[in-house]
Amino acid sequence: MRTNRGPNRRLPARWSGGPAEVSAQAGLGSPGETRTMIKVENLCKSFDGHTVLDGISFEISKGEVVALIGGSGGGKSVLLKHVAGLMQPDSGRVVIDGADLRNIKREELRRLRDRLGFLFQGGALFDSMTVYENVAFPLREKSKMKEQEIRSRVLKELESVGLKGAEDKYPSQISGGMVKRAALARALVLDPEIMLFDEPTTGLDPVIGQAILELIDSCHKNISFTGIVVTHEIPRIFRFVDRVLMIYEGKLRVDASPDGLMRSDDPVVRTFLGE
Amino acid sequence: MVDHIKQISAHSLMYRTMEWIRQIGAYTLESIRRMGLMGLFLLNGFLYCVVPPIKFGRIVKQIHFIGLQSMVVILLTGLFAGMVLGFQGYYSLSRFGSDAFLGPMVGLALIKELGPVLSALMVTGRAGSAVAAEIGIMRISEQIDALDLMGLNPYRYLIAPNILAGMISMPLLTAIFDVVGIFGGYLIGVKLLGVSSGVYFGEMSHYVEMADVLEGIYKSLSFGVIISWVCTFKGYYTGILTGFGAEGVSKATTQAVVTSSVLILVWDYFMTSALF
Ligand SMILES: Nc1ncnc2c1ncn2[C@@H]1O[C@H](COP(=O)(O)OP(=O)(O)OP(=O)(O)O)[C@@H](O)[C@H]1O
Ligand SMILES: [Mg+2]
Repeated sequence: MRTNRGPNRRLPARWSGGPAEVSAQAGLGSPGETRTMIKVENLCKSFDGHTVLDGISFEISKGEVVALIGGSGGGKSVLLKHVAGLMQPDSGRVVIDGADLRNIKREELRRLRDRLGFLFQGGALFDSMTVYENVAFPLREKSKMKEQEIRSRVLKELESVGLKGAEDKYPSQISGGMVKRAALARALVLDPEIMLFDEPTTGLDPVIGQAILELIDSCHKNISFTGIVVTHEIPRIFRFVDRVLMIYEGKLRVDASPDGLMRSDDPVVRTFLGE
Repeated sequence: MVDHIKQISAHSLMYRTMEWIRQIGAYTLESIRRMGLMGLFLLNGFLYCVVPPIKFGRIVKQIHFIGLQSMVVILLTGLFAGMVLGFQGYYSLSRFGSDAFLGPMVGLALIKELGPVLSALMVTGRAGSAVAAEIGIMRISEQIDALDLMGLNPYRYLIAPNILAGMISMPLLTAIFDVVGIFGGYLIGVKLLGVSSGVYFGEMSHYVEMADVLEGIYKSLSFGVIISWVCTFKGYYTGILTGFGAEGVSKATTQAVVTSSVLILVWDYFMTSALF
């Protein structure tokens, strides 16, 4: 079993569909290169004296997709927000592609965030805009695309998440699962280099859930983002990720390949796997 | 034994006093911190009013919301305020036999004082509360975080347009309030109570000076800033200062209306004494 307590843990030497293959596919970097994209060091965070994260450390290389699992209220969303720089840690640090978020300049942070996509747990669609406008919003604000190109791009994106026909509805008029999928379309529309998914399939039926996971996977094959997927979909997610991190009582309990996790004899992990 | 009890109660009295002083200190520090936060918030808001790219679409939308949609309320309250002034002014003035001064009385009261203050209070209740609630909901449903993550500054998108819209709408709404109010005074004073129309308007134009009109404009301009500042601030810090969920939003909305109304009256006092 691979447990992680110390900050100086090394990455596993090998994982299925590792970054070397992926980046070679996408023509990015030289094969075999493993550049660290996300590095979290000894991260601690507490709210009103209640410790949520208690010294979390891990690294994610470029092109790698990692699942983040753990109990409800265990701090997965909080950890994801730290990685995106939406929350500041009490101590410890987050380094994204070599840039330390503690002392990053405003302009640099903005450029970093242009490369980052975030799917919020609740979707966070703008409720004064229709689904179409929501997905078009990043393109209109951030790209120099013409309205016509934007239109075809948005419609394509909406179709791929199965929301064709719902373009003109407002977020309050569609179901929770549809909100999630529209938010996914909005997160993916700018082809981000780093994708943070907060429970992409929660609230979806098993068929659509599977389709969404496959969509994420195919996006990963196309644009080879580096990703963290927060999920409760165990073991279904294992097929799609290179590594699994598990948070337990504020600490990183497991950092292992999916196979390694399945073979683990840690009782906490076994309970979590439903045994 | 008795000594011992005395000692304990003295000790607990001391302890309670210390605790009490500590709480006053903590409260004071927290208040100062919040004032600083609010001040910085306003500075940032002003900054994004002038730093391009300015979101004209958002500004127009907010003017529509804060300004145009408040028209009915302003027309109604203005008319009735003017009518009441007509009655009250007439009865007070006729006691001294000087009902000829009804026009200037109504005009000055509305232009210098009641117009700006009452329309600001009405806009706070109608638009300010809605702005606070809208931004509060955006905060707790993480829409503000989403904006931030897309590299789009929330100050630019949410705060600055509201401040500009408040600064543009309030003087106009106040002007409308004044006009309708003067008309209301005319209805009562002239049409009902028999002051001559020439005297009503003649004396008004004789006694009301440009300085009075300017005073009203300055006041309404600053009230516009106060409303949008306080209401966007309360909305923006929902969750962080007021707690999460629907309760947090309702708290933020209430606080926005109360704080902004109180600030309007306090600030009105200072402006009046400064401009007197
Ligand atoms: N902004 C905040 N202020 C105060 N406490 C917070 C805040 N955000 C999260 N928390 C607390 O942090 C803890 C972890 O929350 P988090 O949302 O990260 O859980 P999670 O692992 O994502 O759970 P779930 O699987 O249910 O989404 C919770 O106890 C929550 O109350
Ligand atoms: Mg969560």
